Amino acid sequence: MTMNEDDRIVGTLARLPSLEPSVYRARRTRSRCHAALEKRRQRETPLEPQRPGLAPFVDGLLLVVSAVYLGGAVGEAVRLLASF
Amino acid sequence: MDRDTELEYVARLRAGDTDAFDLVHAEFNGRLFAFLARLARSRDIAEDLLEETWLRLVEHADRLHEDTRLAAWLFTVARNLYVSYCRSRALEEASVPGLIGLWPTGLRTSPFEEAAANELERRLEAALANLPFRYREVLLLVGIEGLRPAEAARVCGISAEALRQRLSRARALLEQRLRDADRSISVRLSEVRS
Repeated sequence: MTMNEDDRIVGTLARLPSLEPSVYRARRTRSRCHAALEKRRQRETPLEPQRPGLAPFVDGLLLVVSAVYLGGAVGEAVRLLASF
Repeated sequence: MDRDTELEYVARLRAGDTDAFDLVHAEFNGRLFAFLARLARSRDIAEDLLEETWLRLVEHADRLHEDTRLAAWLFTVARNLYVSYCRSRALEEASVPGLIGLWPTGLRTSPFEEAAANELERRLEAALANLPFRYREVLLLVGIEGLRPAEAARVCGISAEALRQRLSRARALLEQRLRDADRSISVRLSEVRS
């Protein structure tokens, strides 16, 4: 179906004045949409691998301290048991 | 907007391109607002629904089909948001707020033409605003927004044949309303003269 060009009423409808939303609302909408698109882009971009820094040394140090403490506790328990 | 440009914008939107969003926004924002304002018969409601329409586009941008027709997609979302709004508020057909004359008119060549055109537009807007929703929406989509009938049928969720019948009925009803308005003006004028 095509629009009948002789249709005066529908032809007149096409000439009705255009309507525009307020500039403030248009700006607000655009900035909200930009923010949503940026957020999505950031979510989809894989994170860069983090540089090691001091973390492995701290982890190692904690491991050694924990092992020494645990060893001492176990040794003490064995000594106590042996004294009975 | 030609089809190649539209497909390019869709591809860029799917990738989250904000510049593509701006171009689509510039192309459709006024048209969607006019459609919603005449559908809802209120600028405030139209502005709220317009914002929601754009947010829906952004939310669903990565799931758009490569061959999406943006006009049909956007007008469908806008129309469905209005229908949901009416359902939630049970407002449709309850009242006709005074939206006539809320926007500037285009340039006219002479004061007489301007007055005549304004009068015709005012009557047309009033008659359109008083049509039932299902007739108003097809006239807006086909008569004002220039959507192809197949696209308008998709937007309204009806078959092409149903749209053709509804459009024909809508035109007849609009003409009838305008004739009634003319008659009422003539009667009032004759009362003033006598």
